[in-house]
Amino acid sequence: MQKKEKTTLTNEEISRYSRQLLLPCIGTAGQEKILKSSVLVVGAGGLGSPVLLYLAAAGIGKLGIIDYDNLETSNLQRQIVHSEKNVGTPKVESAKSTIQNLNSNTKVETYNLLIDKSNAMDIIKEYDIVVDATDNVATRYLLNDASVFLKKPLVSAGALRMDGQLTVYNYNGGPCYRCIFPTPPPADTVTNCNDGGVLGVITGIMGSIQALEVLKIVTGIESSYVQKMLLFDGLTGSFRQIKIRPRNPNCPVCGDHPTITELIDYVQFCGAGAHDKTPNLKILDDKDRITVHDYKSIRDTEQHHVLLDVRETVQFNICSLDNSLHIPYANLHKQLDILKKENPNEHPVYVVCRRGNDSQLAVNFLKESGIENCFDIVGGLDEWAAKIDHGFPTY
Amino acid sequence: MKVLFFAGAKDVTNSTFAEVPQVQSVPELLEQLVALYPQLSPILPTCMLAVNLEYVELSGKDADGNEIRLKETDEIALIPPVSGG
Ligand SMILES: [Zn+2]
Repeated sequence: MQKKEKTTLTNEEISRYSRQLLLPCIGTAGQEKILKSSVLVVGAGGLGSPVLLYLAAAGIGKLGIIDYDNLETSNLQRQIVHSEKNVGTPKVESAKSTIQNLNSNTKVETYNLLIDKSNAMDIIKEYDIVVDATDNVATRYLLNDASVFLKKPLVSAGALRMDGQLTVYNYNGGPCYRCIFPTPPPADTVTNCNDGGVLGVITGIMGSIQALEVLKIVTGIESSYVQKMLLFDGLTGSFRQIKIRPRNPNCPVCGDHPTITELIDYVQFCGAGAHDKTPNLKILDDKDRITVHDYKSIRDTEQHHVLLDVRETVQFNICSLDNSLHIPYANLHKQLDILKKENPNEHPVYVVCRRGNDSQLAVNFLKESGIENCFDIVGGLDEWAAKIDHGFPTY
Repeated sequence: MKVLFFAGAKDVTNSTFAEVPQVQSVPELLEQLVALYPQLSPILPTCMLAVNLEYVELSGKDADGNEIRLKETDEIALIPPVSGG
């Protein structure tokens, strides 16, 4: 019979973690590893919330939290590590207070900053595992490259609308993020949760699986998502596993002859900022745009015009200005007849959307279609709510 | 043959799958897809492709570098990265 060393767990730890000590795959040896491990969670949002809660509850020794945002009311629907009393305060502090209430034995390190090439290596090197719970493409490539350089497993997930994706990168011969997605998506094709929406349960499910994979890696159980990608479709309830490639020997970062050997400028590489805010575009000349103040006086003086709202139907149903004509931008080419019935060449058409980006594209399209007398309302309904009508809903 | 759309590919095409005429190679398949849904063309180079739940390079090679031949019964999936969180 082999002689087992006595556990180092205290009586308090034994009773606190008893339900997982009883699992043969964890046991006292696994729990000792959990208590000694350190995990860096990048993003204290929809994915990061369940990751932080479950890892703290399970007894992870040290949790690092990176996020530079302050908590907003619209975060609360999915970011369950936060509570409404903390709206307006840094997310890292809000998350820390929740975690410390849950498990005061967990050491929590907060980083209220934007992770970038200047600080990523110094922060990441202090941790055993990196959890990618970010909301943007640039940070995803940054975390990937830094994890490759520092040989850390990267437990990565993404969620949008009703869909989730999850893979463990850079671990046990598996690929890195760049092996699978070598080319960043063009910035204007990336939908973020801010615009596309996301159900809290979706981020909750994906973040929970991230936490599970972290605990498996820490305790030495084989991770289920090395060289595999999980695709979750919340609408149909289907979980699919795609067998992905092993490490690509030609990968520019983790390959046999890497061409990228230090962190680069990821905002430049992706052509998009390291955040999930939609940039304000300026597509039109000033002569084709009017301010919300000018549009207000057009309404007040009852000048004859058409207000064309080009937002998607779900957004239009949330709120709209009186007497709006609604044609979603995506349908404009098919439904131009509806606008033409309003005799658009006899009086001006003012085009509005949520923030003033699609409305500019719509004005361009209308001009190309022979409707010349049309203008974009700068900043859209968000600007209307901010400058003209504080009672108008924002979302 | 059937191509399943995931995440962003589902959003831009407004459908969960496409029926495309039978072709032999991945590049031909991608051509057919763009012909059916021109709006896929900007995101296509950034997508992952899977045939019968296995990764395939957009060039049509599998992870071992072998050119793959498509069959009528193959389940093809077009998977753009999901970056929200
Ligand atoms: Zn790689």
